[in-house]
Amino acid sequence: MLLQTQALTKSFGRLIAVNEIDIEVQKGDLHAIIGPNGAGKSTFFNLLSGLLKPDSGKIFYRKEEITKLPPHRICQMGISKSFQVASIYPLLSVFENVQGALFSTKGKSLSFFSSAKKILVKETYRILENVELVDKADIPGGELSQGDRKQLELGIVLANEPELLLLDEPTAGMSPEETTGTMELIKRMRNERDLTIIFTEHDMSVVFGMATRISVLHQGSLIADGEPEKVRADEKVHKIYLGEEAN
Amino acid sequence: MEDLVSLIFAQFLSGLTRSMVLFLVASGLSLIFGVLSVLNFAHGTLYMLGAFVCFQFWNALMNVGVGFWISVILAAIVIGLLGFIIEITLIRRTYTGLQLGHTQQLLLTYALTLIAMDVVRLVWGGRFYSIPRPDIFSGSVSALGVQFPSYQLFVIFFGFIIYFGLWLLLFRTKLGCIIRAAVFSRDMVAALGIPIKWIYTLVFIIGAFLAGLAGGIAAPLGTISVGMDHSILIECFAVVIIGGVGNVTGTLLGALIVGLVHAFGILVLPQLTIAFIFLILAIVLIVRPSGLLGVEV
Amino acid sequence: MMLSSSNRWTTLLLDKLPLILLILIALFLPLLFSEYYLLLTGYILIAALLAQSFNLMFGFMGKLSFGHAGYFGIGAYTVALIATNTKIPLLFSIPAAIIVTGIIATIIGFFCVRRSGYYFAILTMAFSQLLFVIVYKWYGFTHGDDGIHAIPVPTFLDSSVAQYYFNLVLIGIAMAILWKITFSPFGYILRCMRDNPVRTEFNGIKLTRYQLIAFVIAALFAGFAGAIFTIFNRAVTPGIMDWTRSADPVIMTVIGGQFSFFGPLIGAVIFLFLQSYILGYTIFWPIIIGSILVIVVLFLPEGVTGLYQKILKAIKQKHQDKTKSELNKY
Repeated sequence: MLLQTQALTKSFGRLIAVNEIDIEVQKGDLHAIIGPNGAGKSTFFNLLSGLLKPDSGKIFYRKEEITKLPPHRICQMGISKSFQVASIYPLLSVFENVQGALFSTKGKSLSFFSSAKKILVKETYRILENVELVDKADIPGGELSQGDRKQLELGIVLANEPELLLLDEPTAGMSPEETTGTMELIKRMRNERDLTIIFTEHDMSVVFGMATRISVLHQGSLIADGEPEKVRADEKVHKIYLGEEAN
Repeated sequence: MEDLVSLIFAQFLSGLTRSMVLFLVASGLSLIFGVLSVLNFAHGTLYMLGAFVCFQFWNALMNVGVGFWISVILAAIVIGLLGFIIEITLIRRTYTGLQLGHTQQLLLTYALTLIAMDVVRLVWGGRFYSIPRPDIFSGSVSALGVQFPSYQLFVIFFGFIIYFGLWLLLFRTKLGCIIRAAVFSRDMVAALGIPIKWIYTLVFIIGAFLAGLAGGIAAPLGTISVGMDHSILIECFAVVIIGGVGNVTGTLLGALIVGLVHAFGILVLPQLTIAFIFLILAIVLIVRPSGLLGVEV
Repeated sequence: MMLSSSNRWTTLLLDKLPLILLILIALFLPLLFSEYYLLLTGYILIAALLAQSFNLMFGFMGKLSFGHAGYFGIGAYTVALIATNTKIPLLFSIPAAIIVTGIIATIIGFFCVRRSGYYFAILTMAFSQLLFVIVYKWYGFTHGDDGIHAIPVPTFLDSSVAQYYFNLVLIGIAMAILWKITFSPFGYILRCMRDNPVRTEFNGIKLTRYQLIAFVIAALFAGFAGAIFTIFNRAVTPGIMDWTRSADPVIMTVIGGQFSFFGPLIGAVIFLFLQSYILGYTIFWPIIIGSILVIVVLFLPEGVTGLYQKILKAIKQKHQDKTKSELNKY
């Protein structure tokens, strides 16, 4: 078991956004967190990545408690996160975007006297190849399309060499072709790099096309959890998704 | 023992006077910082210009009985107008992003202090000027063994009047409600269909007006000279930060703290009093940047 | 788009031309110009180093410090006090100045980097003003307002030419080191923190730690500039560390361009040249520099170097279009 939450709770004033959630994520899983709007997915995600601190409850990663750790420590432990709105460096080139992340991962960030242009170049290109952005290497991040930005962010989080990847709506804003491409990329990366992935999604075709395990949230509580077929058949899930296409 | 009581009381009143002058100047700075998120480096300059302009009017109206009071009001109006011009021509162009806009505002307002310094030198030369206390308050009052100039008592009184006036404006009028809302969220106010651009301009005018008013009122307390903008600016920063940005009661508290610390500090540690105030400013910024009563930073 | 190799060399040359010119002039200054310019250039070099160290935090890390002159003053006073109170030679007083500045900057910086924007600016200003007041009021130690004068320097610095090259070499080395740091992986991380602190934090970087390191590095160079200043000026007064002096590197950087490594240097050249020229005719320098600052802030956000880059780009574009249209003829 790679990641585990115990009775994780977070409130904003009187609104209980995340209510005593217990989730287990196994190594190698592609674990989806789904639920209607307002279910608490984003809050839960932010608790996992360290952006928010829970009011109560614990998070364990590889048996170590990481509940109170700041985001940079969580990243150093092997958990990397991508954001719903791709968080990249708009003024730096695509190449520099990924290279900057690699500097941190490979312990070069306190290197004061070497020339940045010459370091970790091959490794950066390798990642750019993986996310198919090599031909756009010199373009400033800010000039990329939305879909490309998400690809770039995927490249950045891969550069963090994580064991666990947290993807917040990885296909948000993408066209159907881009979505399929990203799904294939994620599955390939997971296989090639032995990753575990937790992701949230609204697009059910993505969820059922990728997930090996699904947790369903509703109004802050966990109402279903298990293999895709089991969740798909679950009555409670049907009720809360009344009107939504479950592919 | 009696001497000690007198001394303390004298210092207290003196500190209170200084506090009220600081409050008058800093209240404008606090409003501008709170509502527009602009740190107006030129605020001390507006205060200084208020004093010089007041002197000019007073000079012309010397034979008029209430000449001084008219000069003060006129000076405040002139400076308010200057604030209007500054906001419209310069500050308005900088309401873009967060960091970039702030840097521009800081540099622009600092540039204004440089320009104003030379304007003052050009128009009034490098001399010192002074305005005597107005006749009504030219005497002194005694209490607890201390002879205290009645004009200073007036300044203290006036400061509290302005405080209550501002409080009424902010908490009992619709405009004040809008201004307080804008401190919290500019976007919400704009979304409600209120012309936020003009609210900003209005607040800047009010802030400048207050600074000019302070310059006029404080003029008889000391000399009018070119460096007075620098010395009051950093104390104003201290007042605003300690009291809490955008909160008029906070600014009053901050002014009281800074003024009284200064007054009693010079009894105890005369050389390091001003350093002590910077230290308090630094500590507040480190421990609780929102100050005593400010909005959570 | 294929640029012929001669064109590539031309654009490279044009890009670096102003810098090359400046370096050549600097190297041969004593042969070309009078003593007055030797002195002026000495001050320009010192101011340029101060501005460039400031810009490590401002242009490259995104935090505007309004207290940089404080560290300049600490470095300057350390050398002054050592030189007038002890027999310790220059060789050791300069490193001592750097170390003292570094220690003080580490303590102050620890608190400052936890704030950003205006609060960072005011906090740095408050600490710097605190340092100023201490130096100003501690008459017994620093001679307060009188300053320290007639500071003894080694005899080899008696000639102004020798003094000039002394400054040039030391400051040149300092700038080279600063260059290395700016374009190292550490320097890249600074830019990352500037452009997207959240992403950088989520890449495993503890923001306050790296910002503190940058803060201290900037202060070290400022202290070094102060040390050179004392040796050059042979006197120090508290006025060099008042908060209004902290505005000078800001102005120079903004005029020169904050996003270019040599922007602050260009800004320092323009600022001090203009200042000495104008002060020759009138005392009303503040209004002139104030007006220039307003114009630059509103219309030239990337400073003179930014403008130059834009012009170069436009020329390159026009040349490319011309080449394209010529190729199309065939």
